[in-house]
Amino acid sequence: MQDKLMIWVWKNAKKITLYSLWLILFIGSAFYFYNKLSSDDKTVLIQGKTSNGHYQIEEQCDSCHEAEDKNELGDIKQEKCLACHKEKKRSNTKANSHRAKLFEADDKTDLRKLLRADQCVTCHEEHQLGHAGTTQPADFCILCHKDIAEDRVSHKDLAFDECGDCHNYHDNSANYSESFIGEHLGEEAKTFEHSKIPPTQYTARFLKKHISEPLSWQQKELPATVDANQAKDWDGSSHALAGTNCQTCHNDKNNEWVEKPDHQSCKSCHKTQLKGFLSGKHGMRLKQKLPGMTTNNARLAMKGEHKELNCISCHKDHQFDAKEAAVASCLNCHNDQHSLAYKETKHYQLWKNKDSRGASCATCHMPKIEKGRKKNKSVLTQHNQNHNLRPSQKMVKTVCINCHGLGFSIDALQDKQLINNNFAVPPTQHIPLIEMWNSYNNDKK
Amino acid sequence: MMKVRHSALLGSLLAATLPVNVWAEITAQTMADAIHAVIEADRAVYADLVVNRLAIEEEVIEASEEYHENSALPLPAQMLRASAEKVRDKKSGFSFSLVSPWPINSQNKVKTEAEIKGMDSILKNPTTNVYSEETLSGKKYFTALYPDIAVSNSCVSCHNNHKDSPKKDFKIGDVMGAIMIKIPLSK
Repeated sequence: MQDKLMIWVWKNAKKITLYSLWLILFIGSAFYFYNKLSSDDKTVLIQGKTSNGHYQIEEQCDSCHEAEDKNELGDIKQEKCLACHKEKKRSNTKANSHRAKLFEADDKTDLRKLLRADQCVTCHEEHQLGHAGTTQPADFCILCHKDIAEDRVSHKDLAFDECGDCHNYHDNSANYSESFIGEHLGEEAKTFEHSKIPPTQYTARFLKKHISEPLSWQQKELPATVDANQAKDWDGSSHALAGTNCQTCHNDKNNEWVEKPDHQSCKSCHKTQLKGFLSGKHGMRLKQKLPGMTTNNARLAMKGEHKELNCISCHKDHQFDAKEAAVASCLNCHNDQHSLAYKETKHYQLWKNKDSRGASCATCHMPKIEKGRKKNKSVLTQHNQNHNLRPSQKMVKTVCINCHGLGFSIDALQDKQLINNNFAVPPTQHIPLIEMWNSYNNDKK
Repeated sequence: MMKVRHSALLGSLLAATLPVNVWAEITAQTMADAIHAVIEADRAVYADLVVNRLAIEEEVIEASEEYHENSALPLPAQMLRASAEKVRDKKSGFSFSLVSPWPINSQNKVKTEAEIKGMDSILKNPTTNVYSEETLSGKKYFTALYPDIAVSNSCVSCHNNHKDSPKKDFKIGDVMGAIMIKIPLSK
């Protein structure tokens, strides 16, 4: 009996091996995919390349695909988009004249027939390569604005695929509003002696509000178990001046010592800054409760391996020197053409020599913003650098106009060569924006 | 004793439901009229107690079309549009807006046949509201237009001086447009 079986096995050895291999492969792959599909990590399902805006958080599928059960992949719900991309609350200003909400109205059925502008996914489809996942052709503005030249003679000879050179669909307040141009006429070629935005004076403001005395080295309140040498930089730092000792940052809610406090520990004093940081490309992974962004995961050219982003990657502990964070911290990682060209520019030379006409990386990409009026006025650093990454659409009003005249700024920002060499030389082309403004005004008289 | 109490309670409950019957007879028109009264009152109060008092009489803050950029008060018309948007968010079923044959933003021009006809009749007879029914994208609506008259100098001067205004000779007492309320009659 045994012999017969052995002979049969011997005769069918090839078949048996093949069938067993097939079975092992089948069970193995079924097991693999079952595991993949039921685990939290669903990256195996991602089809196509995720957009530059979302690739950092692509492993967190439910950031966009809402699902009740975490093993399911839900549909894209508009609320999910708006949870991060909050539409500006201001109504009826040029800042947000394309709010999705506006197109939901009963009296906008005619516009909805042209373009479903009430839905984010009409223009932004994910997992397709394209800037911000935009899927509309470049001249899509023509759908609704085909008669623009009748209303604005200045736009008569412009092509519809050029709208984006000056206008941003989601925020048209940033530069070319007519009243803004009007206010800055006559200062076309002017360059100011220094930026018009005052420095933040954060420490002074803090002291005024909290009535705390600057702390000496003896008042650091460091637990005896921790090596004091690590904290040397704290002595004389802005934190020491503002009455912030070791325990303010290192103690958690239960007053337990935390060796490496995370960004949440900064929140109690720097709430606005943290909110900006988490909304931008530097902090968006942390906002989704993922580990911080690292240099080797970036799509832009970066230096160094596995450098992870959090507050102290730029604001080195324990000095927390804002000057360091304004240039050196950026260039520690960023290694693209624009960043590498910075040190050759006049902006840098002046900044290095502490000349108030100088401009650091942060002056332009994380500018100072004024909030409130009169008594409540404060100047803060915009920590969401996404607001200032598109020169021609967004940076005139928030950045350039603080030092340069309007005409000069527009000419420079529209020059793509200058973006590569980091504005090392003056612009050579001329954009007739002021002339357009004049023709518009003459027409409307 | 208990029985008496119960019937008293029942009686009062019945009495309390009586007004519900009155409300049940409410028509689209009475509803639109009531909503219009609130919208108009809110705008008038905002214009008077906030804008006029703080921007014109006491001059403590400006009112400006670009109110966000200028840290100023929104104009009464912008206030009305902002609250229309808020109402739309609540998905309460009806919508309202400001429309005109001469709007500063061409998006706010009277568009549908019912709106154009209604606006024409308001221009001929500025004291009468116009009610109509219309079907838009397969959905039936009750559309009410209430004449919007220039009551203060600020309405007139802002529209007459605005670069994008198609009409620059408004006077106090003129019809500037209408407050439009749309109530869906079908699902």
